Amino acid sequence: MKVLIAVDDSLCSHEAVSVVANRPWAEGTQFKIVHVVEPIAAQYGLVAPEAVNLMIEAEKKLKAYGVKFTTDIGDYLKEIFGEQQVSSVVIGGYIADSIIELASDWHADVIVVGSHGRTGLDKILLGSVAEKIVNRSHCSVEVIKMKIKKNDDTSSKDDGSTALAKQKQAV
Amino acid sequence: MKVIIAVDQTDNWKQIIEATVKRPWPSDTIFRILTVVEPGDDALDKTKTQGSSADKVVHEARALLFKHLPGCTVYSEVRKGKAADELVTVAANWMVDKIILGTHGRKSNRLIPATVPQQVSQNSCCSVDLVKLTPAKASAGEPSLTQATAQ
Repeated sequence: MKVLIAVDDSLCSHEAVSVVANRPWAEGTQFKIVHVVEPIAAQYGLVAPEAVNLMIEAEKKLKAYGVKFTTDIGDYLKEIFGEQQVSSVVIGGYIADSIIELASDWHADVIVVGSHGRTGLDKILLGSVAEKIVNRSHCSVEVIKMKIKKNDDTSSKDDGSTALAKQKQAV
Repeated sequence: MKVIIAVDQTDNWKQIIEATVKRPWPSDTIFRILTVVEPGDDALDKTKTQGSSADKVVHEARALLFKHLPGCTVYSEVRKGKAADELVTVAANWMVDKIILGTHGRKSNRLIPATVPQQVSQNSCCSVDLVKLTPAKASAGEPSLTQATAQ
């Protein structure tokens, strides 16, 4: 079985990784972690020519950061499932399209994606990658949602950076 | 772990059960196979009788799942109402960890209302596993779980 885990550095992504890590997968299951860096110019529309170099530089930094945290997630899963079973990749492009394309090329059986659970105006403005993947993917998709913990104010303020550290401590 | 497996009264339930069996499950997993008969369906009255399609589907699905995951607890249930609403409500009341349901991958827009899988994935409080349904799969050469069981 091939499991493609789409991540960003958000808490919901780390939750998805944690859920995957805690499941009794069959031996031989392969995991690929993917992080997609969107072209910055596409997010900001037309910009001055002078800004192009800055954007290219920013994209490089985002990719480097993506490589760092996907490697961290990869290392965490390798400790559980073994070195050979886990790989990670950072690619550039539109998020949903890139994930669907990679899933198709890699012949993934299931795409695991965390959901921010956006609704209403947030969803209209920011969109939902999970929803796009669900609508267009050729394979099954598991949307993992955050468990809402009552009386836990820190959960809403956490940007996800501490989640992986907690997972590593657990291992 | 508590899991709802949502099936409709078509043959698609076999693909959903096949996908479920392939997933990893803790030994204490409790499955609840659920089908919802929407108001106005002919099957509504038939759900009261043993020969109804909804009843038949959930019992067959339950038997197949139990056969392949013998250590797990499997319940089945037929409810009436709006499919997405019922699924989300049962998931919230039963505090499930995951809902599994099939999807054809149809898109919605401002004119076409959201499909049941879309509504469930948007509104549910838990994770949602959407099994891609492939109409051609049944006729493909690969033996399915149900065929293998029959052999």
